[in-house]
Amino acid sequence: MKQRIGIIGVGVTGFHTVSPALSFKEMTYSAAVKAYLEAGLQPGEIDSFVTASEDFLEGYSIFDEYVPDQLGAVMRPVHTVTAEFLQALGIGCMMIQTGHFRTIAVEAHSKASNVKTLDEVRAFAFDPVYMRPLKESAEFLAGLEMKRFLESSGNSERQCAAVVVKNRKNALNNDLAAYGALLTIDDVLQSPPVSVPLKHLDIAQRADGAIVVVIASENEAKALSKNPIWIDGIAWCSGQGNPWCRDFEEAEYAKRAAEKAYAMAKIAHPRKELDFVEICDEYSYKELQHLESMGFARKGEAGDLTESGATAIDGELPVNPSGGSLGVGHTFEASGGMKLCEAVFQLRHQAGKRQIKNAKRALVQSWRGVPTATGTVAILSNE
Amino acid sequence: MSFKETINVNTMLGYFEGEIPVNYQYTLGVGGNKFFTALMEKGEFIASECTACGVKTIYPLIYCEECFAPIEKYISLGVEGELYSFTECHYDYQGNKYDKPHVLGLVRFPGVRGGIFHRIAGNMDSLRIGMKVVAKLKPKAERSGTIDDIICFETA
Repeated sequence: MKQRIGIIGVGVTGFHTVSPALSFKEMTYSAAVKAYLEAGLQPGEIDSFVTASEDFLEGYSIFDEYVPDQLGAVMRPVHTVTAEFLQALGIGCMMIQTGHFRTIAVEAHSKASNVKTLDEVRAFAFDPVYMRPLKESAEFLAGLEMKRFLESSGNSERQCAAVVVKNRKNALNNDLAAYGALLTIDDVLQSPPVSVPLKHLDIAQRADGAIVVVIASENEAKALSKNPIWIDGIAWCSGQGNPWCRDFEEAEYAKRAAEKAYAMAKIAHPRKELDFVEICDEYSYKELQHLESMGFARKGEAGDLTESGATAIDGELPVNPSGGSLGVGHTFEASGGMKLCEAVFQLRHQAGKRQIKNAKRALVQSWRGVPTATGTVAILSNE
Repeated sequence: MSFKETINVNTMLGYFEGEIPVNYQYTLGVGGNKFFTALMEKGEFIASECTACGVKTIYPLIYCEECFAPIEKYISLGVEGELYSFTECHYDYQGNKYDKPHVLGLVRFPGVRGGIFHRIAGNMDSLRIGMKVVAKLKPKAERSGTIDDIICFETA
């Protein structure tokens, strides 16, 4: 990267199954106040604002008109991207790299509990001509991918269940998480089938929450913050858009985004050089597929790695110490934001009971979910 | 929380019911028209073939997604393909549970990029990845130029 970008303030609400006391704007405001307090900035001192959202999940056409006030960004330069939080963060980084902006606030939220027809909204993302007439749920595509991924890689349903057990247990140590639980492998394997081999407990359940993060140029971050967390690399990739053309065996978007982020951060051996990773686990098998695609395990070995305990909080490479989307809750376009906040807390050594000792460098990854092939990878460090 | 006051009584929780009725006519385009015309009239699937780079694609395109050249060649794939993956779905697109689960698959054609998502006759135990499957189509008079002109795929 031309210059490093510093994260100087994070604001995150807790994640909840429902949030009836606050509107999405009030929830976002709550996160923004925290982030700006940490950054030591008033919103009027922030050069620009980038938010990530998707109209149908919000229940508005042209939702971007509704984002400024809760961020203190009325009559200020603000734009919304139809993307996931980490993509918005990447855009913020590029804006700073231009030299025209010193500080940027990045926002995403989930108010999924407001969506009474969430299943239908998700299925509405399918191609209207070739897929939607089948009238199947969004999970049908995940089930197909899981089946092909497991068979081609040799990973098992049992190993997917081990991901669920690990992540939901990790979430018990995360006060922000909505779905912490002590489960057994059999609990997962015996949960109701959704789209075989995908089962109910393999799927991250929805949650509400908001995230605001303030980033700054390297010089500005050093001046404003005592403990900035550095973004050493960030990249995203959209793979094959048409699901019928896609390779289900590998997450190509994650592979390519990771390769680019590793190059920016000068990482040659990700498993050795990173102390933990926060990656997309919207479905249990996705954690395994993403680990393999980003070079943390060879094909077919991510399941073994999980079963051996290597990806546990006290393992060689902790994966999703926050609890991931399975444990914290699935927050759609805000998912990468939740994971980024966890990485910041860990790298600041503020993660409490789940603190990973001497954590210095981490990877954060997101995927936009079914039916997309878009994902982002960021490399963070505290030195 | 960052507020001087907040709601802390259940009976004060307020919300407003809203809905967005949305209706569309999705244009099939040149490629889509070619596909559905062939399906309706000849009972076969067609793919596009790029004469510049050789990539064949279903559903047919009028431009090559690989090399961006315009495409003018279309080839028949017949109705037999291979099962790339399959799943047993227990819920519909609105989250309603099926009385009897649906088996869905992605059917691909050797040497061709892409494939067809559709219902598969059979069950999780009777099917295998890589199996040959054949499309069962509606009678010609009942076809209307949609993906539902295919009833399902059956093992060959």
